[in-house]
Amino acid sequence: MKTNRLGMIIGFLLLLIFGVMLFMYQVRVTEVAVKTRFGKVVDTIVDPGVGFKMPWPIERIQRFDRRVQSFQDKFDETLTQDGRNLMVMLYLGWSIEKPAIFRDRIQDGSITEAERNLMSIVRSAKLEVVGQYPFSAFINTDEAKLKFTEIEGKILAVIQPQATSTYGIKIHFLGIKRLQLPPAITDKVFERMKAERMKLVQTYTSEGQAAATRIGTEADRDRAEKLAAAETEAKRIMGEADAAASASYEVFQQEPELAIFLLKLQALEASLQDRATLFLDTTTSPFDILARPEAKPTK
Amino acid sequence: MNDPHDHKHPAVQKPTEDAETQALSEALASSFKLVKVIMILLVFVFLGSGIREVGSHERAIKLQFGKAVGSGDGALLDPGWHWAWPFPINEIVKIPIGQVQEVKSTVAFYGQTKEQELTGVGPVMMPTLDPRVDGYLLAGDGNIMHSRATMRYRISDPVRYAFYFQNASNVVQDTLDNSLNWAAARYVVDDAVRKDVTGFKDEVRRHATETLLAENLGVSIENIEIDSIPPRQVKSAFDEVTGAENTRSKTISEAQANANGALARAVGEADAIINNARANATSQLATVAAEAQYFKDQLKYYQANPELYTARLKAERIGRIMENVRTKVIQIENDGSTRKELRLQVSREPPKPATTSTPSASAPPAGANPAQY
Repeated sequence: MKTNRLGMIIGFLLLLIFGVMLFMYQVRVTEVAVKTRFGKVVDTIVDPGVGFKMPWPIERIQRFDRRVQSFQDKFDETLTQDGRNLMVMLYLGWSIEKPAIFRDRIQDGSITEAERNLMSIVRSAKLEVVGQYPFSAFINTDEAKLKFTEIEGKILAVIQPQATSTYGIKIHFLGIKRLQLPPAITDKVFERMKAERMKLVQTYTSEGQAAATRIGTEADRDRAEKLAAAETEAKRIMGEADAAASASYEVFQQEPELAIFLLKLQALEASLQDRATLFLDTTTSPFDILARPEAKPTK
Repeated sequence: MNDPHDHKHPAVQKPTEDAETQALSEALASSFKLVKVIMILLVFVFLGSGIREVGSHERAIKLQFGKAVGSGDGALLDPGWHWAWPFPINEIVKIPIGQVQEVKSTVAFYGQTKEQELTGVGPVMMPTLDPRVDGYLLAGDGNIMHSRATMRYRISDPVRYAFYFQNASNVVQDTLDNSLNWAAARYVVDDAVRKDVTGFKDEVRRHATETLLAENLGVSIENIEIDSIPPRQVKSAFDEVTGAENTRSKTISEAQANANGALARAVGEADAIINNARANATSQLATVAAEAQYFKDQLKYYQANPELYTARLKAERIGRIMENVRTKVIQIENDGSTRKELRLQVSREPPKPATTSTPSASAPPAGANPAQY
């Protein structure tokens, strides 16, 4: 009796498991699914969790990865508006937005197959948009002329409606991953870079010499200004001294003849200090005593 | 006629059959017990298979029937042991939230093997760059540069990072590559590789941060390292520019040093001129004051007898002057036709130190009688 009860429990459990497998399904948080009835889509399941379904072959649950897929475009040449060759590679993130369309349009609902289809849309949009902009819109030190982000947005705007309507795919983001020149052009760029560097060398050398000259002349000017200012100040000081001296000389007004005599003596002595050769005649005192009596000057 | 053994035989057979049945029954019972034990063990193993350890640098999210239990930070399981019903009821997904993740740029440096990267010996340099193997960035001035970039980031929104992106780290790497191109497209190559390396890095980081936010990837950037260099094909030209810049700086520095020295000397000279003027002025004033005083002192002697005073003073000065005069020529007689001279060579010795005509030298002693002079 005990054995039979245990056997019944086990049997019930097995039946329950079998029933659950037949009538229930689970959709993970990373998935979306479509419910088909005799091969025809009857429901789209986008919320994770469990649900009921009729057993196979009546109903069937087909799951797809709902996560954002990382996709990289082919790195190939495109022509800009001004006829320059440019190599552009895009990256984008896409996910399944409409599982029913995706299931119908993509063989086996394969991610690889979806990306193969997406590739042609992306390439077409890239050629179209890159051809609308000149080369200077991709790289430019002038922010006003640089359209890097605008170009990315425009390519996304071209791809988005096609991808959604055709394949049930949503593009979440898109950007330029690589931007290069064809190999044949790079050596010309190198030549230009070398020429530019040589110009820079000359510029820096000239700038150094010019700056040194400017600094030197400025220093000379400053020096002259300082010395001139000092001379001016010196003259002012001497002028004040002369004025003060003139006040002191007023005392000479008491006896101008004596003052003149003393000044002459002082000047005479000062001018004959250094081994001069002096010519005198006998009229000059004290040599007048050497003169003949008749030549003696009368006083 | 009846064999008594005929009655005994069944009696002997029955116990034998009972024993076999019993043995079989016992064997079945023991087997069933074994099966029960195994089943119980299997139940324990089944239940135990739902135990998961979450490491110290990890967090985990429990899924129940494919759906996350809880939301936001409340959905995260902390490090430690956690139990959940085995699949398909529950599922524990680990996320390396505490660890710093790292991606490297793949599109901006010339092609080299890992060995070449480690040894620092690059591949053979070709005259052009091959886009199949060589990566580079186009700068805003149309020039080419190589950049090696590493971005480190943390997962800030584990649910989005783990469940909404098939390969989130690839998207982060794409974003880094995109940001490098975006920043280079507006930079002059000399600034990006030499003059404004930090500014270039900041631009890359700014754009990467904004893009990751827009992509809603659930990550936050820790730091970005960028090493940018000019192409090997033009490296020598860049080196020459660096040398010219250094020479320019040196020339300017030397000129500045010379100018500073000249200005310092000029300041000294100017000070000397002013100081000399002050000294001269002071000296002049002192001299004038002394002369005035001398005049005042002499005035009374002069007024006492002007002729005698002037003659005495003149003779005295002439005499003193003659001491320093090397050659003295005195014309004795001049009658108009012949001239006679007396030439006296007094001394060839070096002149004596100049004597200042201080008033005191000729001044009569204080208190002297003016009439004596």
